[in-house]
Amino acid sequence: MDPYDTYTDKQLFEFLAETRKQRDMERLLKEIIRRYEKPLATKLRLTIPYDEDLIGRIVNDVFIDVWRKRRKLASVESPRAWLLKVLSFKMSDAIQKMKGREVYVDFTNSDYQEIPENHPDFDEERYERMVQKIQGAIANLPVKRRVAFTMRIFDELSIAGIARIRKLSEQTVKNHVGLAKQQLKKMLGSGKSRKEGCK
Amino acid sequence: MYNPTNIKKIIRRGLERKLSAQDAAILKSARMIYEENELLEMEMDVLEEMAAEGPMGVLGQQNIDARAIIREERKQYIRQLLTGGMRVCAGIAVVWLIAWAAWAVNDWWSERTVPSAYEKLVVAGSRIPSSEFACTVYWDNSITAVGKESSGRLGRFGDKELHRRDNGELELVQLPSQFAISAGHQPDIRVVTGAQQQCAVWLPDGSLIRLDAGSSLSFPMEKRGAPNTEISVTGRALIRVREHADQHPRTVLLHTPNGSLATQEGEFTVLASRTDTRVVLLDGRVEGQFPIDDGHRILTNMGDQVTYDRCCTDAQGNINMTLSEVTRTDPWQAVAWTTRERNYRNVPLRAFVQEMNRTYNLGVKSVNCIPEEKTITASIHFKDPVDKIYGYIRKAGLIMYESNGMISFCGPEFDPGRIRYPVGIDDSLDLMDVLHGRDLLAAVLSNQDEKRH
Repeated sequence: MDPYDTYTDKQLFEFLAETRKQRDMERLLKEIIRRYEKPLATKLRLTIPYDEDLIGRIVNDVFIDVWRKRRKLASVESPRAWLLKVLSFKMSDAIQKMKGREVYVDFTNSDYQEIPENHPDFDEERYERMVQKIQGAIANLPVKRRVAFTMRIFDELSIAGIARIRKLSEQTVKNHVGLAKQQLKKMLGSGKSRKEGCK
Repeated sequence: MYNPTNIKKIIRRGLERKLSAQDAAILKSARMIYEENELLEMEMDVLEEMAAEGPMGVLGQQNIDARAIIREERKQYIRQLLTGGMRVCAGIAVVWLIAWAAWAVNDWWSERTVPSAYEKLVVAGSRIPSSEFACTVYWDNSITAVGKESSGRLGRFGDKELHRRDNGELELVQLPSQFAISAGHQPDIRVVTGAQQQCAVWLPDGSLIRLDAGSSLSFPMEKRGAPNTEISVTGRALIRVREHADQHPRTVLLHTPNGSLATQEGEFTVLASRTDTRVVLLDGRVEGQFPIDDGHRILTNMGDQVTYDRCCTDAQGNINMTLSEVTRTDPWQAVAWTTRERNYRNVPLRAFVQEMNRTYNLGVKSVNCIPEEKTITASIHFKDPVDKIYGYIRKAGLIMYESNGMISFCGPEFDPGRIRYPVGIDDSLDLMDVLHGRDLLAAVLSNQDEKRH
């Protein structure tokens, strides 16, 4: 049994970044491939279901990137999110190369998960109601968190900008925003999902 | 509504392209309270679920080999290195080309825009226009007459091509090496100016030689001591040598009939005849070497002049040469011959005649009979006819004697063998031994009177 089975994703990335032993590095990479080859291929298969070769190439490219950037992987906070981001870049590159083949473009254009507001039937009123609901929940937050969250999310200010305006450190602002989000998740996520949330 | 399970379901519907309008609204609003990474983590969870469910997970087992990935990464790395190296090389080449082009343009531009010492000295309106330039170019058996109407490419001499620029200056252009004459003697290119002609020639190395009337420039086809340029000049010339940006500076060696001058950057006039050489510096630095003890002179300041000419005859009848120290002179006088209008005020008549002899090719045999103290005041335009010069000379009180196309100021020539012996003198004697001074002159004059009658 491979000892790396029990490692978290974060640990895998950190060890791969730190170890200098070729054999260990290979085994760590093998473990990462084992964990994520299928999910990544699954995502690609949903996007470009007709080109198995291209899917294979893109997944290969993602792991080549993992290997190439192995020394910097320790700084990756969320390996799973990072892998999906890399996959997204690789997919864009591959599809860019396939430009002119309409079928690829059609498929990528119909992906509303990335930009939900592009949905042809996007319900602006419902969205506004949800935003109001969030704003209502915000009112129950401590003042500092409320202000930081509002500035960050609704006013779309940067963390550095908020820190400057509020005369706080960036880390403090980050903490306020993070805690506000956590609190909102608890407040809004605990409710039963209604019709709109779940089919 | 915003709990992770619900969001994951929405994400799954999104992945399956079944996202409803409501889902889109929730997903968008969920971004307010979830970080991007959290949503991506959720997406990965969904993908893992879907992969484990089966039908989607066509890849039943691991297809990708870690070693193949490592090998591929190495290949890509090497490819990137090579591509990067090639790009860097191409970049360096482009930068080098741009730099070279910029340098060339700058050089070309400064050559035309930055005024030389001569151009500062003599304003454009005062100079003889280069459109008036004319000369003859000799090479091997070919003769190319360059007139005012000549333009463009005038001829090819081995690996050199002669052009006349739009402004009237000549240019010797170096052709690629395949045009070079491979073997045998390579004759020099000679540029010769006749009476009332002037000419400017750009040499392949960027040096400019301006020749006065009755002068010649000899440019060797064979490169002796490359990368130096060796030329020979007789008569009068204005030479401009611009410094080259090369790592190894080039020297222009100018040979005169009795000396040589060397410069890497300099502007000077040279008056070079069989008997004397005079150099006046306008700019830069010139070193002169003359065949005499301590015959090295260095000119470094504007107006520096050095003269090498005959001074006297020793007891054995040898003509001795003398080399002056570096003295100062008016540089304008040294380039006055390049001006449209030359004004002479109380200049020695001998010098004036010599000057006119050079410009108009009068055929003066000697100026020794012209009294040294005589001076002249005259104004000569470069287009004035020769008769005007004769007029000035006569007005100065000189009598010219012409014989066989040559002019003498020493009185009529006579042939002692043809002088009639005066009465009472035995014709077996040598008349020159018998008659002296006034008697000899009387015999000559009576002989001429008889001829006239």
